[in-house]
Amino acid sequence: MPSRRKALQVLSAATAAPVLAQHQHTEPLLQIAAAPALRFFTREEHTRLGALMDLIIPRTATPGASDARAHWLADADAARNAALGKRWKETLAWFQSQGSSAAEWEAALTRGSRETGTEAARHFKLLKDATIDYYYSTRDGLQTELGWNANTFLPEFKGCTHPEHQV
Amino acid sequence: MQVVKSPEVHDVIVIGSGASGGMVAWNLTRKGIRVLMLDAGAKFNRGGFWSHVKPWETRGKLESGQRPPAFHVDLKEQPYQSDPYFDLIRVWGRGGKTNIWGRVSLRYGDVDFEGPAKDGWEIPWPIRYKDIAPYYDQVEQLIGVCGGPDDQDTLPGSRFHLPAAAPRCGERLMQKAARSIGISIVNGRRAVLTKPHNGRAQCHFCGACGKGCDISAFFNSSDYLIEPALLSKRLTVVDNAVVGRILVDDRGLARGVQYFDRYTRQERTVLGKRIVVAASCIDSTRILLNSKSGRYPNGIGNSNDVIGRYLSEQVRFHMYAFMPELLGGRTQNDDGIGGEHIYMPRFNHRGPKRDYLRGYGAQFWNTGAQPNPQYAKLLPGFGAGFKAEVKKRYPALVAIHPYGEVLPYRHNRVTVEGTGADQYGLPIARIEYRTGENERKMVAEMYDTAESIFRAAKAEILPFQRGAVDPNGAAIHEHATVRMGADPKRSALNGFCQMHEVKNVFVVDGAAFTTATEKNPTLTILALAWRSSDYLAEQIRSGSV
Repeated sequence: MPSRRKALQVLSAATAAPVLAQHQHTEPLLQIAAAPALRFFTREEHTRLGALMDLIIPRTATPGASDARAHWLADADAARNAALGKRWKETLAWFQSQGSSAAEWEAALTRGSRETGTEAARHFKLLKDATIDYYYSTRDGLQTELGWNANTFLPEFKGCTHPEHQV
Repeated sequence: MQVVKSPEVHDVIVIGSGASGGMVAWNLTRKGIRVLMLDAGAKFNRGGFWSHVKPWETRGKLESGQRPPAFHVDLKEQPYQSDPYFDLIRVWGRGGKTNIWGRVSLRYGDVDFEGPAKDGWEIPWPIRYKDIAPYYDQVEQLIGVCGGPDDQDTLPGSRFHLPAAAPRCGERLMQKAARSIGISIVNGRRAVLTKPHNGRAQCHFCGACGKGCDISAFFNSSDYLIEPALLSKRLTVVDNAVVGRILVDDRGLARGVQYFDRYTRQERTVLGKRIVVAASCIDSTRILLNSKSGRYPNGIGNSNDVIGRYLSEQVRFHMYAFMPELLGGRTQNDDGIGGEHIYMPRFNHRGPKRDYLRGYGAQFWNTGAQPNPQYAKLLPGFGAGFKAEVKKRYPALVAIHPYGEVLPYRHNRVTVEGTGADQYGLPIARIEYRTGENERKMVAEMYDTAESIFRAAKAEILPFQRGAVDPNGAAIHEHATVRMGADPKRSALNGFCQMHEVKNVFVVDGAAFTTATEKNPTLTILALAWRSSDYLAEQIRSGSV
């Protein structure tokens, strides 16, 4: 039976590891603790996806997409849905064809965000929509970033109390 | 296949356990009448509702094999056909759709009941507001409906409202903007307990009503009607009883019901002196149409070919915006009683005469901080700036959802011919439903109204496609396929929901309505079912049926 301290250490490592794995690439023990096995993407694809999602919703004063493990959620969904998985493979391959640096991917995203009906727009939309869906469904995205503090027990609901809003 | 027959002849057999079936069972049993209820499902485990599962906890629970209650009927289990697509939501289980309903509880007024007689479209209602008003009073006292003292001719009031739910900031601002252009937005009327009522706990404002309420603080037929009826010892509920058809005797009266066990598919028959059909509009219609016999080759009570026709729903769309006063503000807990706390009653019968018939109102759910900020997908760009824009708008989201009446058209119908059979060998329903020019014109004005409210608020309106509406059926307000009316040639039921042709059969759900109106029907379904079962009880007492 592990001690509470040991359990907390493992949990802590598991939470921190995806970020560390992405940005350090040096600590195999942490990577092992972090990473449940990928179900669909290759390691390289998954890393690329995390980086792309971070370009959509980056870490600022609050967590970014990969901090919230958005790319892990995408991996799980793609493993369950073959059609979605195929689309992800195409999108990741397309971004790879656009370059391998953050600057090149950012340029591709910029084109995708401005165009309509093009390949760039199609891949951008999949990436952006999925990042939004995943990120804002996590505690990091919904609670920490947006401040959602609901679905709880309240003794009363006061509604709007701002005098300037009243009819 | 073994056929098991029960020799007992029940006073009344009620098919369905939703709002109308529950009401009939509750009212009859308290009058000393014994009732057998056939429910296509079973009681849902309230302790297993996911009302307090946070969005980020859902995935983990699903991956560990946990599941929320399966309220909606799986189409693989019970298919239907439609052309064009009609979104049919069914709940088979104790309480039916009242487990997860929207709880909007609006009285019909004489603008609604007199409308068809005045404009001449199809048949008039056989009742007026004065006939049903006492029942609205009784229903509201029984189930608890919150609301304000802001009656209108299109929205009769009540002395029995519980305290109204306090509007959120966005809702206040929409009220203010609407008022500035002469449109009245009133307190919402919802069957949610904003204070303890009849021994039930009040709402705790978690906002997750759509997942079912774990403390039953909004009306549901199971806890509010069926459980008390069971305590009387005069109600027996048969779970998982999927009704096939109503059986008739040599006189043409109903004598019983054939049903199938939902899981074993074993066929059973129960006998009854009176049958109350309350399986929700489409399933009730299907049962009646499938109840063919030598006497009723077109389905029981359908010699005039009315049953199945005139299917009426509502046209609906959604418009979203951001209120400038709320941009960049602090995120508040906007849950409240779930859904909107305000309502825009119909007003288009005032002012200049329109080039279309009937009217529309509007609801306002999804206003304020919601757990699923889909609007982010409509904001341009990406990166830190995009993230900041999403956050800035998060407290400021407001929404308008106008609902317009769809006229009853003879061609909008439910049929069972040539549709193929379900797992019990019963013909499934086929829904044919198209809206027309009247609805197109009404929707155009609905868009103008919604946009004008947002413009008056100087709100940032999210992109929308003018004229687009939700898929047919999306309002989940099916009506009028077994309509009531004074003329037996053009209607199936009298004003007490009793079949013209088969006096011991009553149909008490939304199918009995003459028109759909723009309003949510459940409060009226409850009031009509109470009135109908009072009448039935009196008929039983006098030996008339």
